[in-house]
Amino acid sequence: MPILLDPGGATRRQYEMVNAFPTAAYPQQWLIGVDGTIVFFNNELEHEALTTAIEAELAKMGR
Amino acid sequence: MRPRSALPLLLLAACGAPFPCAEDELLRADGLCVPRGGGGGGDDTQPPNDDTADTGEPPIVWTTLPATCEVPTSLPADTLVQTGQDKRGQDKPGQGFFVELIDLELHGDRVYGVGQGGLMVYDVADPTAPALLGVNPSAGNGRYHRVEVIQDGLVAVTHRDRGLELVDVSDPTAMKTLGVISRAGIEGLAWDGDRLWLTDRARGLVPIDVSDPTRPVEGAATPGLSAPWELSPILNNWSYVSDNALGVVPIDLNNPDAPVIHPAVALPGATQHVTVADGHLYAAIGGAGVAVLSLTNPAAPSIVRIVPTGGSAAQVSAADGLLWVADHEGIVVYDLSDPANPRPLAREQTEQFALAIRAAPGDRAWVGDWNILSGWALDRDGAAPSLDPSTDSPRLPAEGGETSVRLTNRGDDTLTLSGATVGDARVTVEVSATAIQPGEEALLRLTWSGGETLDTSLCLSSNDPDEPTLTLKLTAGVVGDYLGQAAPDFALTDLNGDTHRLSEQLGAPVLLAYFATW
Repeated sequence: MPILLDPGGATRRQYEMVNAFPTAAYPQQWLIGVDGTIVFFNNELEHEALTTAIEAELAKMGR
Repeated sequence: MRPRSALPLLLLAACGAPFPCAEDELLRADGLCVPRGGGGGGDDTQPPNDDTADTGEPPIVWTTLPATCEVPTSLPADTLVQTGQDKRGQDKPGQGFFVELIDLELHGDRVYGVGQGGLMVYDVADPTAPALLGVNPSAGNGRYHRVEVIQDGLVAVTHRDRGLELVDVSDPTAMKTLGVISRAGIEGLAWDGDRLWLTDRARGLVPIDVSDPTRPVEGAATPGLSAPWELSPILNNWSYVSDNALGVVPIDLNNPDAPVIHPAVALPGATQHVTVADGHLYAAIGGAGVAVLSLTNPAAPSIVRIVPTGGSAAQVSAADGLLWVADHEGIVVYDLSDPANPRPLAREQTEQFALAIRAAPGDRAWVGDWNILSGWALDRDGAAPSLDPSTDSPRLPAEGGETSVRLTNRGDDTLTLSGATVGDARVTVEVSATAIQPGEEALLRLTWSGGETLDTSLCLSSNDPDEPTLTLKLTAGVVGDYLGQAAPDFALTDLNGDTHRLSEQLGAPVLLAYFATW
């Protein structure tokens, strides 16, 4: 699981999440699907929704 | 949540204890690892459409609720109520006072809270009207993490980058920093009545002589910690470190001049906070909930069970036979009449993010709810159900299909579902049970036929006195400003200096988890 550095936050600004919790202090999660489009995003602690989204994408790969 | 190992690239910065199970195993609620697809009940990862055929359980009989969503005419009294709050919220960026309470201490009629706002002192003599008396701001960037009361008018606070500060709080409107130990990596604090103990990521456990608070003196460090977050209060010369990487680490202080750090007990989750009561240790371990450990052997705590709270457990506090848990989403209260088997009494979703909690006399507690200090009281003689859905925004497959939501009763009386309405006729709603016993759960199954974008809501009524009508947002397909858009490409380096480009990952799902975005 590589940890990538985003010095200056240029990439983070591309993934700015409108209406996120004002402090943006919680992790923001973006799931990019097998076709390269955004299929899920949130900045809350909803494990099940994220799991469902990941498994749906993996299913597209036949896994 | 256990993503399948086939997920090819997971960009995630995380800390925490190693997951105790193998890749093909699930962590059961009681802390045991069981093979996937059978061998145990109660796991969280059953596919939504599974009718339990794999486990040998009888198939689910789905029931359609009445197409109504009204507050029942008769409701039990809410047993967990907010008594008062001090709100210094930041409704709009740049306005108000950003508090971010992440640790609290209760001392007499004072609550000392720390966070991004600094050191806050509240008057809580009147539980219905807590009042912020003063703020000692955290100079520069970053926040105070821990606070410990040494004596009337004197507290210790830690800052991960700046170190330890001893602060005169006798006049909350004019607090004075008396002494400082400047060192990065300091966080956990515990006061034994004679000396202050702190955790240091680099050096381990360190005693501090604060007899002259203007000149704190460090003693010899005892190594053996990894990512220590907090020390439990010292009882019977024992303390326990909540180590985010190792788990729970027992500290023998019977000879304070030669403390002994015993082997850590790994827990299924990132250990964030611990407390001790009635011969047991309770550890907040994030999304896994609360771990209950026996202290029959204080040097070697043993896991008794894992209790999911419904949120991500951040802090625990025990007093008068009650265990209070702050789990980000809200607070949960458990009865500890049987200390090894906490029994849920009530749950309440708080306004913001409940990260800190301290039990108070009289079946009360103070909660650090992000920018709010709130007081809560439990009516132990009452009984009421408490509906906790596994999500408040279920997503349905874009092409049509179904999904399930777990409905858990975290109260101490039977929860009765009385009706459900949906704002889109393409969606049907069924439940696996209309009556849910305390501590148990039922499934809410949503099925939709597919088609154009779904963006509607479901209203579910029950006898939960706190929220007798519950609204869930239902979506599917392409909605919002982001879904369906091409993910912006990027090329970033990892900690080893290797470059990773998003466009090179096409063909496999990629999870981006941005943390520490401030």
